[in-house]
Amino acid sequence: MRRILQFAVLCLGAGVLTACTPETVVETEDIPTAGVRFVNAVPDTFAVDFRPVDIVENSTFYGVAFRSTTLLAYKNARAGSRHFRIFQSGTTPEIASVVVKDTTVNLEAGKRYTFILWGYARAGSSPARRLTVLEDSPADPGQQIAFRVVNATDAAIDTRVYPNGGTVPADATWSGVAALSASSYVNVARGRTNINVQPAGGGTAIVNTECTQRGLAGTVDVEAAPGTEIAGSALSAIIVPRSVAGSTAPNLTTPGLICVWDRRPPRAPGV
Amino acid sequence: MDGRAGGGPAGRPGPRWRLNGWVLAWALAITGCYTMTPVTGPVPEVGTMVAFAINDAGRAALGGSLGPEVDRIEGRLLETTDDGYLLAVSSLTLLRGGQQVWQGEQVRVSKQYVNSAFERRFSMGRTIGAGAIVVGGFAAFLATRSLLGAGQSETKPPSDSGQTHVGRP
Repeated sequence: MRRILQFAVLCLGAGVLTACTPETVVETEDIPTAGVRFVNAVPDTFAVDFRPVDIVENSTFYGVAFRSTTLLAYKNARAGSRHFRIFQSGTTPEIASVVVKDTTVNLEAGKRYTFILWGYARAGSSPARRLTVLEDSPADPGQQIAFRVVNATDAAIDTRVYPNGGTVPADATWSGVAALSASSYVNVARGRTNINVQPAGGGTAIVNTECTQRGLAGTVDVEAAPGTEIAGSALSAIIVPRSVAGSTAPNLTTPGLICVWDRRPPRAPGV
Repeated sequence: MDGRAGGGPAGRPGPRWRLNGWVLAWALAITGCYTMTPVTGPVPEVGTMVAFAINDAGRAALGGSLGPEVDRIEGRLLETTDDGYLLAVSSLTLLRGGQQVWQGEQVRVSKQYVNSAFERRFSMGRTIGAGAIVVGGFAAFLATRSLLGAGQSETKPPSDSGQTHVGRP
């Protein structure tokens, strides 16, 4: 009888130890995020992979070829000091493990960034390939739209922004934007907008086309899509060079324009 | 089956065999002609067959329309917008293996949910390889069954005119 009593006490103790853990509250972190996107503007080599190497995250951009806009959109990345690497894109370890660029950058929560790889990969070509991180955080343009030009070509350019259907203005909106650099933002009237790019100092237009990112007005329950026709938007006109003939880059025989949004218009009340 | 099932003369493949062979060859050839390769151009063209590898954020966001554990979504590209794509989905590849066949239902996929993009391209290497295998295999099949008329002729049946001896029981 005594043994049974001891055994029962033992069982009770074991039950208490295993079963009775105090109730805990698991806090779920509200992750501070920034927006990142990646542009490959290197005209003489093949596709690359952009990926974070410090934490597991969805801010990866795989197989981005020269001038590809297939995956050109902001992805959320944790804010703070972040480590990114750009690899050659391929399906074999020999290719996919080759590091093209390695960078650590401080991302601020609520801000957006463009990682742009530009210049030439081939030895002896100038300017040499480099990675630049642009901050895409213009001031609120109010009832206008904000524009900037990002020059990914190898020479300085003059750029004019003008209404679609209008004439090219005599004065450049941005003069002498150096190779592999970005201008400041300029506010212009909203509406369909053309971009005219000429060599610095003037000459035959390198690019003269409409920025096709026109946006879409919001509705009572759907947020507006940013674009040239939507007040409060900001956009970048990325001027990209032609590809180097005979290289592994996609064969694009003329310079081009990639138009992307940098800022969304304010949300309507209730959306 | 004796190789003359198609009704052809002795030692030669019949029309039905030949037809079956060509149908098989054609079927194998057209399935081997295409492969999914990473998108290399600026943007995939509307109307082409594409596949998107979905990231974790996309699996969470698209779970309501695609279902859980989707690895890759494949279909015809109907529309490209600045933020994403509209696909007529033909199949889903799942993370744990397996495929689901869809009937062209339309699904909008945001670019931020895509890890990498692929497009269906004509593959010359595969086509030549598959064609060579099919043609070689078919030729070998015919040769091993003496269907090309190169084998031994069949034993001539005894003539009706000869004497036949039948033993008494």
